[in-house]
Amino acid sequence: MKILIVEDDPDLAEGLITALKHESFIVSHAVLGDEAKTRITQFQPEIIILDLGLPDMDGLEVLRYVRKKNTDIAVLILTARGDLDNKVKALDHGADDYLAKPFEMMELLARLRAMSRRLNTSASSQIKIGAVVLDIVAHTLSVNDQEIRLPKKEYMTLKILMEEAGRVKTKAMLEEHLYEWGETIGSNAIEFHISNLRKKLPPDFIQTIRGIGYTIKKADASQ
Amino acid sequence: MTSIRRFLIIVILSVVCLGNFIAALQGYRDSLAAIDRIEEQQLEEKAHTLSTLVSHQTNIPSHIFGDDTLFQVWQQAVLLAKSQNAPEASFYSQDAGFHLRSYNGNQWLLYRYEGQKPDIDIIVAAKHRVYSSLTEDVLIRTILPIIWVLPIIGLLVWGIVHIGLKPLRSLAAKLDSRGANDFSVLKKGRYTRELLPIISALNGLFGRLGDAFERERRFSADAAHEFRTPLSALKINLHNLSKEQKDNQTVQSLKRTADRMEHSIEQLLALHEVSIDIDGCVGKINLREAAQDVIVEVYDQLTLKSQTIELMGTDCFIHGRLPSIAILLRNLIDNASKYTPEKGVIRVTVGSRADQATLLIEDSGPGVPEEEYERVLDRFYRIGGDQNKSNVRGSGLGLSIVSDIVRVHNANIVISRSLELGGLAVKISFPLAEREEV
Repeated sequence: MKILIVEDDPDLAEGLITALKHESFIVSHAVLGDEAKTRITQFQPEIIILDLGLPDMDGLEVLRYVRKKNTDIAVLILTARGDLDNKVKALDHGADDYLAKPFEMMELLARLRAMSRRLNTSASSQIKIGAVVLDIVAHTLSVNDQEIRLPKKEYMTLKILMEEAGRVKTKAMLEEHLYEWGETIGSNAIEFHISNLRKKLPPDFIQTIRGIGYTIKKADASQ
Repeated sequence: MTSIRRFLIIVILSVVCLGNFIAALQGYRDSLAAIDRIEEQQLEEKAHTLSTLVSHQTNIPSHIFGDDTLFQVWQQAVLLAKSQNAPEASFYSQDAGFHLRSYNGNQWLLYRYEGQKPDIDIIVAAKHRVYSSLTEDVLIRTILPIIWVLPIIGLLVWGIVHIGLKPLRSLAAKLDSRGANDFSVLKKGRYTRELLPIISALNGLFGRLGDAFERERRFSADAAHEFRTPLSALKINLHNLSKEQKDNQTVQSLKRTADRMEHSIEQLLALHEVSIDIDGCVGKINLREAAQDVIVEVYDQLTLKSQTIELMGTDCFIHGRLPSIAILLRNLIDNASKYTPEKGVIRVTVGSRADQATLLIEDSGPGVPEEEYERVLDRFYRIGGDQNKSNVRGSGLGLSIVSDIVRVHNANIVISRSLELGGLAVKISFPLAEREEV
């Protein structure tokens, strides 16, 4: 998996390079926006970690360039300006994910893993949490090595929750994801899918956070 | 001078009244002089008539001129003729010409004429200013209409001043309708010459304010970048270091220090964010959704302590600035999580009652002693000082930022003990926003 880091702060860039190499990513680095543009053609990254505050241009311009050239590259935005406007703007410009500085390295790695799974380039296309294994490529679920068939919407709901295990997904977020994938959603559809999923999964695998949404606990050491 | 219009109306009406009065007075005096002249001419004519009669040796009838006139005709000391109402004694003691004299309780204008025949003295007198009452009547008739017209003049002046002040009003309206963060210059072409110095001064002020505001804003962004980027680098490098040296105590301690620094920096940035929050981008906020979003963000932290969080209540809307409200929620939930032991419960309740939207955040932690309720909202105050026995490191800024945000939003904050969970209960009441406006 090739990652291009576009970041002007040398200490941060160096730390990132070391950390990502340690996780067996192939890493390249650009300091300036222009440099990033040429590096994209030469290096052909699959993921770009893009800092918005570059010395020569706005990071969003690099993002526009990427989207004009090739929509397959996943872009994760890093920014020190942690406000909502920035986040919305970045996602509107076609960023795949967004992380505000300062961030936890574990968080960044989790996001990169989710991205690489989505790109189907991950060494493992499987998300394993406890006894539950979801295969993103084969679209299969197995619990305790028993394969279980899942309707499409239930599969998608579970995938969202497992990909971002440890995070809470509100009903609205889940609905939005399903809607983005072209599914029509009736009212109470999410509750219905969750209730069906629960019958097929180990007890308490999907947890309800009262008044907020649903979450699946992160696997302790397996991931 | 509280109102230009009132001032102008009073001054203009006073000037009109005064001018009118002076004109009327002058007219009155002119009329009197004219009447006096007419009286004199009449007396002269009467004297000439008498003189002619005397010179023709005609007997003069005593009532020739009527009751308002008296006369005496003297030849040396002999009274040749007199009117009935004239005294026997000489009526004059002065030189020839006109004189004023009191007689029988009246003012008389007296004319002594030395006749054509020598030794003949003719005195004719008429009641002085018989017509002055007429003059006064004329005067009142001149002045009265002005008194009736005054309100009309007042109305006219009011209207004219209203029209005249239009540029000032439109400037005021334009300034009034500006957003608090709108520092664009005013176009000079649209205003009258008298307003141009004001426009120039305002434009200068707007320019300086805009610059200051922009500097503040940039400072916020720059400071955020200057703090957060090196902090990210520090954390990543610590992460790398801890990969190499798994059980190094120093690295663990450094990590904790970095986390504390991160917390303090975020609080300081939040404080600055709130302090420059000059009612920019105020909007309607669904308190329940805002709470939901913040809980989603901080959920990770809660799971580290295996704490349970729940959100109760229904949609309710307040006016405010979303980033500030998010900081408020975040600080309160962070705080609850920090001081609540593992496996504790945090409950967020939103709801509306009458014209208030309430946000209640409770936890199952140890709470705060009643005597500390006031002081926990102070900046940098931590219960028990830096030796806070909860063993939790904090900046002491969290709740003071909360109380700043509460103040900016015209809300109020009450700290008490949670009845159900037993820990701290923080209740904030905001003015409710009308739902229909959404």
